[in-house]
Amino acid sequence: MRTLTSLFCVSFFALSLLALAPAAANTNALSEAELMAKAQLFVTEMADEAVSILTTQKTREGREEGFRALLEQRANMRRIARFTLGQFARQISDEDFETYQALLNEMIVKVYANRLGEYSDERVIVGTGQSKKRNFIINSKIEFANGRQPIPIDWWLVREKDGSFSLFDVRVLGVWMAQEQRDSFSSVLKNNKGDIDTLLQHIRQQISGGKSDAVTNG
Amino acid sequence: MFLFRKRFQILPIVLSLTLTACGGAAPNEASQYQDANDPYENFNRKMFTFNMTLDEYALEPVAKGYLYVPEPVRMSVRRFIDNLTSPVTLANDVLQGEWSRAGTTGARLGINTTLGLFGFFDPATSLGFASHDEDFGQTLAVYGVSEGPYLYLPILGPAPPRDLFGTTVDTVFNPVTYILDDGLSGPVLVFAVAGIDSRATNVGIIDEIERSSVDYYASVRSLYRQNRQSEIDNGKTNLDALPDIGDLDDF
Repeated sequence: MRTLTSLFCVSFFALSLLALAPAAANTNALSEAELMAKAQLFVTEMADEAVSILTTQKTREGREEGFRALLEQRANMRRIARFTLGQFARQISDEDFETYQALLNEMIVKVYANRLGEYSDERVIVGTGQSKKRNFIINSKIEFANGRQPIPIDWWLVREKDGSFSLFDVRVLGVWMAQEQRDSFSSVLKNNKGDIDTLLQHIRQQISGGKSDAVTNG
Repeated sequence: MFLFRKRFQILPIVLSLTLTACGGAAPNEASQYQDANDPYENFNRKMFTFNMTLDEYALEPVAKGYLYVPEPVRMSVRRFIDNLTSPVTLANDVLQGEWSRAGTTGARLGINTTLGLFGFFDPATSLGFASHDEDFGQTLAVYGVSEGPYLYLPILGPAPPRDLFGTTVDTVFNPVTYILDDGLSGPVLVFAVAGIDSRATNVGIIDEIERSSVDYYASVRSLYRQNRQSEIDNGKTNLDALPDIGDLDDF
Protein backbone atom coordinates (compact mmCIF):
# COMPACT_ATOMS: atom_id res chain seq x y z
CA MET A 1 0.00 0.00 0.00
CA ARG A 2 2.83 2.35 0.93
CA THR A 3 4.48 1.56 -2.38
CA LEU A 4 1.33 2.35 -4.28
CA THR A 5 0.92 5.59 -2.40
CA SER A 6 4.49 6.57 -3.18
CA LEU A 7 4.01 5.66 -6.81
CA PHE A 8 0.85 7.75 -6.92
CA CYS A 9 2.63 10.73 -5.39
CA VAL A 10 5.57 10.47 -7.76
CA SER A 11 3.25 10.11 -10.72
CA PHE A 12 1.20 13.10 -9.61
CA PHE A 13 4.37 15.11 -9.24
CA ALA A 14 5.54 14.06 -12.68
CA LEU A 15 2.21 14.99 -14.20
CA SER A 16 2.35 18.32 -12.47
CA LEU A 17 5.70 18.98 -14.06
CA LEU A 18 4.29 18.04 -17.43
CA ALA A 19 1.39 20.39 -16.90
CA LEU A 20 3.79 23.19 -16.07
CA ALA A 21 6.17 22.35 -18.87
CA PRO A 22 4.40 24.30 -21.63
CA ALA A 23 4.68 27.51 -19.66
CA ALA A 24 8.38 27.00 -19.06
CA ALA A 25 8.92 25.96 -22.62
CA ASN A 26 7.15 29.07 -23.79
CA THR A 27 9.51 31.23 -21.76
CA ASN A 28 12.53 29.52 -23.19
CA ALA A 29 11.13 29.43 -26.67
CA LEU A 30 10.70 33.16 -26.99
CA SER A 31 12.03 34.42 -30.25
CA GLU A 32 15.01 36.74 -30.31
CA ALA A 33 12.73 39.63 -31.18
CA GLU A 34 10.45 38.86 -28.23
CA LEU A 35 13.40 38.61 -25.87
CA MET A 36 14.76 41.89 -27.14
CA ALA A 37 11.38 43.52 -26.65
CA LYS A 38 11.31 42.25 -23.07
CA ALA A 39 14.81 43.58 -22.48
CA GLN A 40 13.82 46.97 -23.90
CA LEU A 41 10.75 47.03 -21.70
CA PHE A 42 12.93 46.23 -18.69
CA VAL A 43 15.12 49.23 -19.47
CA THR A 44 12.16 51.50 -20.11
CA GLU A 45 10.60 50.63 -16.78
CA MET A 46 13.89 50.92 -14.93
CA ALA A 47 14.70 54.29 -16.53
CA ASP A 48 11.23 55.57 -15.73
CA GLU A 49 11.70 54.55 -12.12
CA ALA A 50 15.08 56.31 -11.98
CA VAL A 51 13.66 59.50 -13.49
CA SER A 52 10.78 59.31 -11.07
CA ILE A 53 13.20 59.12 -8.15
CA LEU A 54 15.13 62.13 -9.44
CA THR A 55 12.03 64.22 -9.96
CA THR A 56 10.09 63.29 -6.84
CA GLN A 57 12.84 62.88 -4.27
CA LYS A 58 14.33 66.28 -3.54
CA THR A 59 16.58 65.30 -0.67
CA ARG A 60 19.81 63.37 -0.93
CA GLU A 61 18.54 60.79 1.55
CA GLY A 62 15.36 60.31 -0.43
CA ARG A 63 17.24 59.75 -3.65
CA GLU A 64 19.62 57.33 -2.02
CA GLU A 65 16.74 55.35 -0.60
CA GLY A 66 15.06 55.30 -3.99
CA PHE A 67 18.18 54.11 -5.78
CA ARG A 68 18.85 51.52 -3.08
CA ALA A 69 15.44 49.98 -3.69
CA LEU A 70 15.81 50.24 -7.46
CA LEU A 71 19.17 48.46 -7.47
CA GLU A 72 17.94 45.72 -5.16
CA GLN A 73 15.05 45.09 -7.49
CA ARG A 74 16.73 45.52 -10.87
CA ALA A 75 20.46 44.76 -10.54
CA ASN A 76 22.35 41.57 -9.76
CA MET A 77 24.63 43.13 -7.18
CA ARG A 78 26.34 39.81 -6.45
CA ARG A 79 27.55 39.58 -10.03
CA ILE A 80 28.62 43.22 -10.05
CA ALA A 81 30.57 42.75 -6.82
CA ARG A 82 32.43 39.75 -8.17
CA PHE A 83 33.18 41.53 -11.43
CA THR A 84 34.47 44.70 -9.83
CA LEU A 85 36.90 42.72 -7.69
CA GLY A 86 38.39 41.12 -10.80
CA GLN A 87 40.84 38.32 -10.14
CA PHE A 88 40.79 39.14 -6.43
CA ALA A 89 37.19 37.92 -6.12
CA ARG A 90 38.37 34.32 -5.81
CA GLN A 91 41.16 35.13 -3.39
CA ILE A 92 39.39 36.74 -0.47
CA SER A 93 37.48 35.05 2.33
CA ASP A 94 33.70 34.76 2.32
CA GLU A 95 33.56 37.10 5.28
CA ASP A 96 35.61 39.77 3.51
CA PHE A 97 33.51 39.35 0.41
CA GLU A 98 30.30 39.94 2.34
CA THR A 99 31.79 43.07 3.88
CA TYR A 100 32.91 44.22 0.44
CA GLN A 101 29.48 43.48 -1.03
CA ALA A 102 27.71 45.58 1.58
CA LEU A 103 30.13 48.49 1.20
CA LEU A 104 30.01 48.36 -2.60
CA ASN A 105 26.21 48.46 -2.59
CA GLU A 106 26.23 51.49 -0.36
CA MET A 107 28.94 53.24 -2.35
CA ILE A 108 27.11 52.73 -5.64
CA VAL A 109 23.91 54.12 -4.16
CA LYS A 110 25.66 57.21 -2.86
CA VAL A 111 27.81 57.81 -5.93
CA TYR A 112 24.97 57.57 -8.43
CA ALA A 113 22.48 59.44 -6.33
CA ASN A 114 25.06 62.24 -6.36
CA ARG A 115 26.21 61.94 -9.96
CA LEU A 116 22.64 61.95 -11.23
CA GLY A 117 21.55 64.56 -8.76
CA GLU A 118 21.92 67.42 -11.24
CA TYR A 119 19.44 65.88 -13.65
CA SER A 120 15.76 66.45 -13.13
CA ASP A 121 14.39 67.57 -16.46
CA GLU A 122 15.27 64.58 -18.55
CA ARG A 123 13.52 61.72 -20.26
CA VAL A 124 15.04 58.47 -21.41
CA ILE A 125 14.38 57.33 -24.97
CA VAL A 126 15.03 53.61 -25.33
CA GLY A 127 16.34 52.56 -28.72
CA THR A 128 17.55 49.39 -30.36
CA GLY A 129 19.59 46.59 -28.86
CA GLN A 130 21.79 43.62 -29.61
CA SER A 131 22.41 40.37 -27.84
CA LYS A 132 24.89 37.56 -27.50
CA LYS A 133 24.07 34.47 -25.48
CA ARG A 134 22.61 35.79 -22.21
CA ASN A 135 23.91 39.31 -22.66
CA PHE A 136 21.70 42.10 -23.98
CA ILE A 137 22.93 45.62 -24.75
CA ILE A 138 20.12 48.14 -25.01
CA ASN A 139 20.83 51.61 -26.40
CA SER A 140 19.09 54.70 -25.15
CA LYS A 141 19.65 58.40 -24.79
CA ILE A 142 18.74 60.97 -22.21
CA GLU A 143 17.07 64.02 -23.66
CA PHE A 144 16.90 67.26 -21.74
CA ALA A 145 14.07 69.74 -21.66
CA ASN A 146 16.51 72.66 -21.74
CA GLY A 147 17.89 71.66 -25.13
CA ARG A 148 21.14 70.33 -23.76
CA GLN A 149 22.91 67.81 -26.00
CA PRO A 150 21.41 64.33 -25.47
CA ILE A 151 23.59 61.82 -23.62
CA PRO A 152 23.84 58.26 -24.95
CA ILE A 153 23.30 55.56 -22.33
CA ASP A 154 23.72 51.84 -22.97
CA TRP A 155 22.40 49.21 -20.59
CA TRP A 156 24.00 45.79 -20.21
CA LEU A 157 21.40 43.28 -19.09
CA VAL A 158 21.92 39.62 -18.31
CA ARG A 159 19.16 37.08 -18.77
CA GLU A 160 19.10 35.00 -15.62
CA LYS A 161 18.51 31.27 -15.53
CA ASP A 162 14.86 31.79 -14.60
CA GLY A 163 14.34 33.90 -17.71
CA SER A 164 14.22 37.25 -15.94
CA PHE A 165 16.54 40.14 -16.73
CA SER A 166 18.93 41.90 -14.39
CA LEU A 167 21.10 44.97 -14.81
CA PHE A 168 24.84 44.37 -14.91
CA ASP A 169 26.41 47.59 -16.17
CA VAL A 170 25.60 51.01 -17.60
CA ARG A 171 27.63 52.83 -20.23
CA VAL A 172 27.56 56.62 -20.22
CA LEU A 173 29.19 58.36 -23.17
CA GLY A 174 31.25 55.31 -23.97
CA VAL A 175 32.30 54.44 -20.43
CA TRP A 176 31.09 51.30 -18.69
CA MET A 177 30.70 52.17 -15.03
CA ALA A 178 31.36 48.72 -13.53
CA GLN A 179 34.48 48.36 -15.63
CA GLU A 180 35.69 51.71 -14.43
CA GLN A 181 35.10 50.58 -10.85
CA ARG A 182 36.98 47.36 -11.47
CA ASP A 183 39.96 49.18 -12.96
CA SER A 184 40.01 51.51 -10.00
CA PHE A 185 39.67 48.76 -7.38
CA SER A 186 42.23 46.56 -9.12
CA SER A 187 44.70 49.42 -9.07
CA VAL A 188 44.24 49.91 -5.34
CA LEU A 189 44.69 46.20 -4.67
CA LYS A 190 47.69 45.91 -6.98
CA ASN A 191 49.41 48.87 -5.38
CA ASN A 192 48.74 47.54 -1.90
CA LYS A 193 49.89 43.95 -2.40
CA GLY A 194 46.35 42.63 -2.71
CA ASP A 195 45.34 43.82 0.75
CA ILE A 196 41.54 43.81 0.74
CA ASP A 197 41.39 45.73 4.01
CA THR A 198 43.02 48.72 2.31
CA LEU A 199 40.39 48.68 -0.41
CA LEU A 200 37.59 48.31 2.12
CA GLN A 201 38.98 51.25 4.04
CA HIS A 202 39.02 53.43 0.94
CA ILE A 203 35.47 52.48 0.07
CA ARG A 204 34.41 53.37 3.61
CA GLN A 205 36.06 56.76 3.14
CA GLN A 206 34.13 57.30 -0.06
CA ILE A 207 30.88 56.40 1.61
CA SER A 208 31.56 58.81 4.44
CA GLY A 209 32.24 61.55 1.91
CA GLY A 210 35.97 61.89 2.39
CA LYS A 211 38.54 61.86 -0.36
CA SER A 212 40.51 58.71 -0.77
CA ASP A 213 44.23 58.67 -1.41
CA ALA A 214 44.36 55.09 -2.46
CA VAL A 215 47.81 54.51 -3.82
CA THR A 216 50.30 53.92 -1.08
CA ASN A 217 52.82 51.56 -2.55
CA GLY A 218 52.67 52.52 -6.19
CA MET B 1 52.48 70.68 -31.85
CA PHE B 2 50.27 68.22 -30.07
CA LEU B 3 47.98 71.02 -29.21
CA PHE B 4 46.50 71.06 -32.65
CA ARG B 5 44.54 67.95 -32.28
CA LYS B 6 40.83 68.25 -31.92
CA ARG B 7 40.71 65.61 -29.26
CA PHE B 8 43.01 67.58 -27.03
CA GLN B 9 41.00 70.68 -27.57
CA ILE B 10 37.95 68.95 -26.24
CA LEU B 11 39.89 67.26 -23.59
CA PRO B 12 42.51 69.58 -22.31
CA ILE B 13 44.93 69.74 -19.53
CA VAL B 14 43.57 67.49 -16.93
CA LEU B 15 40.50 65.48 -16.84
CA SER B 16 37.83 66.78 -19.01
CA LEU B 17 38.28 63.30 -20.24
CA THR B 18 35.82 61.94 -17.79
CA LEU B 19 32.34 62.16 -19.16
CA THR B 20 33.04 64.44 -22.06
CA ALA B 21 35.33 63.24 -24.74
CA CYS B 22 38.19 61.13 -23.67
CA GLY B 23 41.11 60.09 -25.72
CA GLY B 24 43.68 57.41 -25.56
CA ALA B 25 43.45 53.85 -26.53
CA ALA B 26 41.43 50.98 -25.42
CA PRO B 27 41.72 47.32 -24.84
CA ASN B 28 39.95 45.27 -27.45
CA GLU B 29 40.27 42.01 -25.65
CA ALA B 30 38.29 41.35 -22.54
CA SER B 31 41.32 40.17 -20.60
CA GLN B 32 43.01 43.47 -21.18
CA TYR B 33 40.54 45.15 -18.89
CA GLN B 34 42.46 43.50 -16.10
CA ASP B 35 45.78 44.55 -17.55
CA ALA B 36 46.58 48.16 -16.92
CA ASN B 37 49.33 48.18 -19.57
CA ASP B 38 50.92 51.00 -17.65
CA PRO B 39 54.67 50.26 -17.35
CA TYR B 40 55.47 53.91 -16.63
CA GLU B 41 52.91 54.20 -13.86
CA ASN B 42 55.22 55.88 -11.37
CA PHE B 43 56.19 58.57 -13.90
CA ASN B 44 52.60 58.90 -15.07
CA ARG B 45 51.31 59.36 -11.53
CA LYS B 46 53.83 62.15 -10.95
CA MET B 47 52.68 63.90 -14.11
CA PHE B 48 49.10 63.34 -13.07
CA THR B 49 49.78 65.02 -9.74
CA PHE B 50 51.45 67.89 -11.57
CA ASN B 51 48.42 68.37 -13.81
CA MET B 52 46.10 68.12 -10.83
CA THR B 53 48.00 70.94 -9.16
CA LEU B 54 47.92 72.96 -12.36
CA ASP B 55 44.21 72.37 -12.57
CA GLU B 56 43.59 73.38 -8.98
CA TYR B 57 45.52 76.65 -9.16
CA ALA B 58 45.09 77.69 -12.79
CA LEU B 59 42.62 75.88 -15.01
CA GLU B 60 39.72 75.39 -12.64
CA PRO B 61 39.68 79.01 -11.34
CA VAL B 62 39.87 80.35 -14.90
CA ALA B 63 37.17 77.91 -16.02
CA LYS B 64 34.87 78.98 -13.22
CA GLY B 65 35.40 82.59 -14.24
CA TYR B 66 34.61 81.67 -17.85
CA LEU B 67 31.23 80.42 -16.69
CA TYR B 68 30.23 84.07 -16.22
CA VAL B 69 30.30 84.41 -20.00
CA PRO B 70 26.71 83.83 -21.19
CA GLU B 71 26.06 80.28 -22.34
CA PRO B 72 24.99 81.29 -25.90
CA VAL B 73 28.35 83.02 -26.34
CA ARG B 74 30.26 80.03 -25.01
CA MET B 75 28.24 77.76 -27.28
CA SER B 76 29.07 79.89 -30.31
CA VAL B 77 32.77 79.84 -29.49
CA ARG B 78 32.62 76.06 -29.13
CA ARG B 79 30.90 75.74 -32.50
CA PHE B 80 33.37 78.10 -34.18
CA ILE B 81 36.33 76.03 -32.98
CA ASP B 82 34.64 72.77 -33.96
CA ASN B 83 33.96 74.12 -37.43
CA LEU B 84 37.45 75.52 -37.80
CA THR B 85 39.06 72.20 -37.00
CA SER B 86 36.57 69.99 -38.82
CA PRO B 87 38.95 69.37 -41.77
CA VAL B 88 40.82 67.08 -39.35
CA THR B 89 37.67 64.99 -39.01
CA LEU B 90 37.03 65.15 -42.75
CA ALA B 91 40.52 63.92 -43.62
CA ASN B 92 40.27 61.02 -41.20
CA ASP B 93 36.76 60.10 -42.33
CA VAL B 94 38.24 59.71 -45.80
CA LEU B 95 41.32 57.82 -44.60
CA GLN B 96 39.05 55.36 -42.80
CA GLY B 97 36.90 54.89 -45.88
CA GLU B 98 33.88 56.26 -44.02
CA TRP B 99 32.41 57.96 -47.06
CA SER B 100 28.99 58.63 -45.60
CA ARG B 101 30.49 60.25 -42.51
CA ALA B 102 32.91 62.18 -44.72
CA GLY B 103 29.92 63.49 -46.63
CA THR B 104 28.30 64.54 -43.38
CA THR B 105 31.44 66.35 -42.24
CA GLY B 106 31.83 68.05 -45.59
CA ALA B 107 28.20 69.15 -45.58
CA ARG B 108 28.55 70.48 -42.05
CA LEU B 109 31.66 72.42 -42.98
CA GLY B 110 29.97 73.99 -45.99
CA ILE B 111 26.68 74.78 -44.30
CA ASN B 112 28.06 76.06 -41.02
CA THR B 113 30.78 78.16 -42.65
CA THR B 114 28.22 79.93 -44.85
CA LEU B 115 24.75 79.81 -43.32
CA GLY B 116 26.25 79.41 -39.88
CA LEU B 117 28.38 82.54 -40.23
CA PHE B 118 31.87 80.99 -40.06
CA GLY B 119 30.65 78.32 -37.70
CA PHE B 120 29.33 80.48 -34.89
CA PHE B 121 25.96 78.83 -35.50
CA ASP B 122 25.14 75.24 -36.31
CA PRO B 123 22.28 74.99 -38.80
CA ALA B 124 23.79 71.76 -40.16
CA THR B 125 22.62 69.73 -37.15
CA SER B 126 19.06 70.93 -37.67
CA LEU B 127 19.35 69.87 -41.31
CA GLY B 128 20.25 66.32 -40.30
CA PHE B 129 24.05 66.49 -40.37
CA ALA B 130 25.03 65.60 -36.82
CA SER B 131 28.52 66.32 -35.54
CA HIS B 132 31.16 63.68 -34.93
CA ASP B 133 34.92 63.62 -34.40
CA GLU B 134 37.69 61.63 -36.01
CA ASP B 135 41.45 61.89 -35.67
CA PHE B 136 44.50 60.07 -36.96
CA GLY B 137 44.87 58.08 -33.76
CA GLN B 138 41.46 56.59 -34.48
CA THR B 139 42.45 56.01 -38.09
CA LEU B 140 45.52 54.08 -36.96
CA ALA B 141 43.33 52.04 -34.61
CA VAL B 142 40.96 51.21 -37.46
CA TYR B 143 43.99 49.91 -39.37
CA GLY B 144 44.90 47.70 -36.44
CA VAL B 145 47.57 49.73 -34.66
CA SER B 146 47.42 49.17 -30.89
CA GLU B 147 47.71 52.02 -28.45
CA GLY B 148 51.01 51.04 -26.88
CA PRO B 149 51.75 51.58 -23.19
CA TYR B 150 49.73 54.15 -21.30
CA LEU B 151 51.47 57.50 -21.12
CA TYR B 152 50.38 60.56 -19.19
CA LEU B 153 52.08 63.85 -20.04
CA PRO B 154 52.16 67.29 -18.45
CA ILE B 155 49.53 69.64 -19.88
CA LEU B 156 48.39 67.14 -22.51
CA GLY B 157 47.22 64.40 -20.17
CA PRO B 158 46.75 60.88 -21.58
CA ALA B 159 48.84 60.43 -24.71
CA PRO B 160 49.80 56.84 -25.52
CA PRO B 161 52.21 56.50 -28.46
CA ARG B 162 49.65 55.78 -31.17
CA ASP B 163 47.59 58.82 -30.31
CA LEU B 164 50.59 61.04 -29.75
CA PHE B 165 51.77 60.20 -33.24
CA GLY B 166 48.25 60.66 -34.55
CA THR B 167 48.14 64.12 -33.07
CA THR B 168 51.29 65.04 -34.94
CA VAL B 169 49.83 63.90 -38.23
CA ASP B 170 46.58 65.75 -37.58
CA THR B 171 48.42 69.05 -37.46
CA VAL B 172 48.87 68.77 -41.22
CA PHE B 173 45.10 68.60 -41.73
CA ASN B 174 44.29 71.35 -39.29
CA PRO B 175 43.73 74.83 -40.81
CA VAL B 176 44.57 76.40 -37.47
CA THR B 177 48.19 75.41 -38.09
CA TYR B 178 48.37 77.79 -41.03
CA ILE B 179 46.47 80.76 -39.65
CA LEU B 180 49.40 82.59 -38.14
CA ASP B 181 52.91 82.81 -39.49
CA ASP B 182 54.62 81.10 -36.60
CA GLY B 183 52.34 78.08 -36.90
CA LEU B 184 52.02 77.82 -33.15
CA SER B 185 50.14 80.79 -31.75
CA GLY B 186 46.84 79.86 -33.39
CA PRO B 187 46.77 76.29 -32.16
CA VAL B 188 47.87 77.34 -28.68
CA LEU B 189 45.07 79.88 -28.50
CA VAL B 190 42.48 77.41 -29.77
CA PHE B 191 43.73 74.77 -27.37
CA ALA B 192 43.55 77.14 -24.43
CA VAL B 193 40.05 78.42 -25.18
CA ALA B 194 38.68 74.94 -25.93
CA GLY B 195 40.33 73.59 -22.81
CA ILE B 196 38.88 76.27 -20.56
CA ASP B 197 35.46 75.83 -22.14
CA SER B 198 35.55 72.07 -21.66
CA ARG B 199 36.71 72.37 -18.07
CA ALA B 200 34.00 74.92 -17.36
CA THR B 201 31.28 72.81 -18.94
CA ASN B 202 32.21 69.79 -16.88
CA VAL B 203 33.28 71.36 -13.64
CA GLY B 204 30.63 69.63 -11.53
CA ILE B 205 31.03 66.21 -13.09
CA ILE B 206 34.80 66.23 -12.77
CA ASP B 207 34.67 67.25 -9.14
CA GLU B 208 32.16 64.50 -8.41
CA ILE B 209 34.21 61.81 -10.11
CA GLU B 210 37.34 62.91 -8.28
CA ARG B 211 35.45 62.87 -5.01
CA SER B 212 33.91 59.45 -5.56
CA SER B 213 36.89 57.56 -6.90
CA VAL B 214 39.03 55.31 -4.72
CA ASP B 215 41.95 55.83 -7.11
CA TYR B 216 41.41 58.89 -9.28
CA TYR B 217 44.43 58.22 -11.50
CA ALA B 218 43.22 54.68 -12.28
CA SER B 219 39.67 55.91 -12.83
CA VAL B 220 40.85 58.50 -15.32
CA ARG B 221 42.96 55.90 -17.10
CA SER B 222 39.94 53.64 -17.40
CA LEU B 223 37.59 56.42 -18.48
CA TYR B 224 40.09 57.60 -21.04
CA ARG B 225 40.64 54.20 -22.61
CA GLN B 226 37.02 53.20 -22.63
CA ASN B 227 35.91 56.44 -24.17
CA ARG B 228 38.67 56.24 -26.74
CA GLN B 229 37.51 52.78 -27.76
CA SER B 230 33.99 54.10 -28.05
CA GLU B 231 35.26 56.83 -30.38
CA ILE B 232 37.13 54.28 -32.47
CA ASP B 233 33.98 52.17 -32.73
CA ASN B 234 32.00 55.31 -33.61
CA GLY B 235 29.85 54.80 -30.55
CA LYS B 236 28.76 51.30 -31.48
CA THR B 237 29.00 48.47 -28.99
CA ASN B 238 31.24 45.61 -29.98
CA LEU B 239 29.82 42.62 -28.12
CA ASP B 240 32.90 40.54 -28.78
CA ALA B 241 35.08 43.11 -27.01
CA LEU B 242 33.10 42.99 -23.79
CA PRO B 243 34.56 41.07 -20.87
CA ASP B 244 33.30 37.52 -20.44
CA ILE B 245 31.18 37.50 -17.30
CA GLY B 246 29.90 33.95 -17.66
CA ASP B 247 32.12 32.57 -14.92
CA LEU B 248 30.94 35.09 -12.33
CA ASP B 249 28.03 32.82 -11.44
CA ASP B 250 30.25 29.85 -10.73
CA PHE B 251 31.49 30.63 -7.24
